[in-house]
Amino acid sequence: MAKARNSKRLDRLDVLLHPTLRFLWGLVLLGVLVLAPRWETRAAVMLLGGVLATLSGKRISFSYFLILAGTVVVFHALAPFGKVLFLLGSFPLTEGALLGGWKNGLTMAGLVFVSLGTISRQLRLPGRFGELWALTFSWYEQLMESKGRVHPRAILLSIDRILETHYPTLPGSPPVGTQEHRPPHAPTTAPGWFLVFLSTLAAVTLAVGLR
Amino acid sequence: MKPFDIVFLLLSLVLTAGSAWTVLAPTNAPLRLEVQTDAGLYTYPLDSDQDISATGPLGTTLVHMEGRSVHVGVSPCANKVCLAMGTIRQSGQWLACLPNHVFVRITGGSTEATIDAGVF
Amino acid sequence: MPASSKKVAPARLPLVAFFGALSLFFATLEYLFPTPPWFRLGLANLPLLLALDFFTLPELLLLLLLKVVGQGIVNGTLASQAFLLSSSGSLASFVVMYAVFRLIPKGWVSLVGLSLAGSMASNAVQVGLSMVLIFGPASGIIAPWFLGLGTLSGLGIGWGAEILKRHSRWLRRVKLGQSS
Repeated sequence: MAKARNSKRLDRLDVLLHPTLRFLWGLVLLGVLVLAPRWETRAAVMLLGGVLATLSGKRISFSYFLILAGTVVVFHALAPFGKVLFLLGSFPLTEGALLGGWKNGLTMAGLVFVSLGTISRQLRLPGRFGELWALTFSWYEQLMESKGRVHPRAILLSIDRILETHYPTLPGSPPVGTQEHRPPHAPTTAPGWFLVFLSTLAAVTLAVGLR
Repeated sequence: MKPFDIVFLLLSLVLTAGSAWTVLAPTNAPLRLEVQTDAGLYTYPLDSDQDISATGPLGTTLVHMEGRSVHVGVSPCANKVCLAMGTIRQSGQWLACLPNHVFVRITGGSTEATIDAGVF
Repeated sequence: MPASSKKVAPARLPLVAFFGALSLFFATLEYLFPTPPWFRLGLANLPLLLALDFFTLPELLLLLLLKVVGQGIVNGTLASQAFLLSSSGSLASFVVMYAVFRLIPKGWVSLVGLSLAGSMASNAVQVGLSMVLIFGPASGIIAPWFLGLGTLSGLGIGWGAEILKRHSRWLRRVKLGQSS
């Protein structure tokens, strides 16, 4: 399944790319994906997204792609449009609907893969909301580390204890920490810039060339 | 449970049942346009506005769809009978450009034409 | 319910951030439960449901934003259609839950009813958007399944929230601490 489940797998792109550049790069790739007229271009960007997601340590599977794209194709095929390829009983399966569904399915899968590959958990948001988000994420990581302390037989008590650990409320407790102590992320490396430049150039060239 | 808990539960169940009824209840097939040419059969929902280029031995016959009605806009045939056939809107109605091997008809709904459109 | 103000008091921001973290934590726990493809239980809504009682509207909106954006970043779906569906559903759910919370007297509706109302709104919006943007009109066929499953999950989330509200000592101390 293509989801990030707080995986411990190494994010290889994190050492190459600053999270903000990575995010902007993702937006450009998504633009190519959504605007490219041909399905071949969208398929190429989707594959690139799959590679990036895998390099980011996310688990993606071929079955996920099949289910996602297949579902979109099936639903589009239910609204026939264009040349009738063959009849299923009296229901026409049409070229236009299948091709439209295939293109849309590739786009949907590509959106997920590119997003997984280019949205880093280290992404910092601007302004005061960004500071608040940084604090939220810091607490989230601490809560995730305590996940193993949830006991199904005493679920309420164990959750209460975890919450008290991270956000103390008992009289005499130390004040709640409000500073998020994450060091600044390293800048993008030369190989990282090369990767961004080359992949973006390839995607845009393909989109323009295959019109 | 409190009174409005039950209200919202019932609303939720009614919404679910209503959507199931809408989806599963037997309905007439939606109106569609079928265009038969030498290249094959093409089908389009009647509520889509577009121009369809139907290619035959004489060239391209342009079938115009707009506002759930259909007429032949342009045809390469000599006598232009297909243009004179006017506009069709209902299931079973048809237009034909016999010299260019183009046959157009509306299907679906509660009635169907019985004309065999497969032979020129 | 504390008096409304247009801004979030700085002293309240850490609590809002912590509830945001709780939303993300519960969202991650969702993956432990097997569900049909495309369907989410909505565990991330639990903290928002609990906070209705003692957060102001600006605080609730900030929590909603943290939940929505945070899920997008943590799950890596911020730039995908999943984010659009999730954020639209969350917004619809919140609007309905808040409206019900404000308009109906407390003794007449519990967190179960609020959760059911929110779940209905969220699923209806997500099905509508799926039909328009992703799967096409024919996908309306999934509506009964989504709404049916949404009814069950709405019941479950609301019931869980009621239990936490009644029995969580931490929550009780938070409410007392924030109101004093």
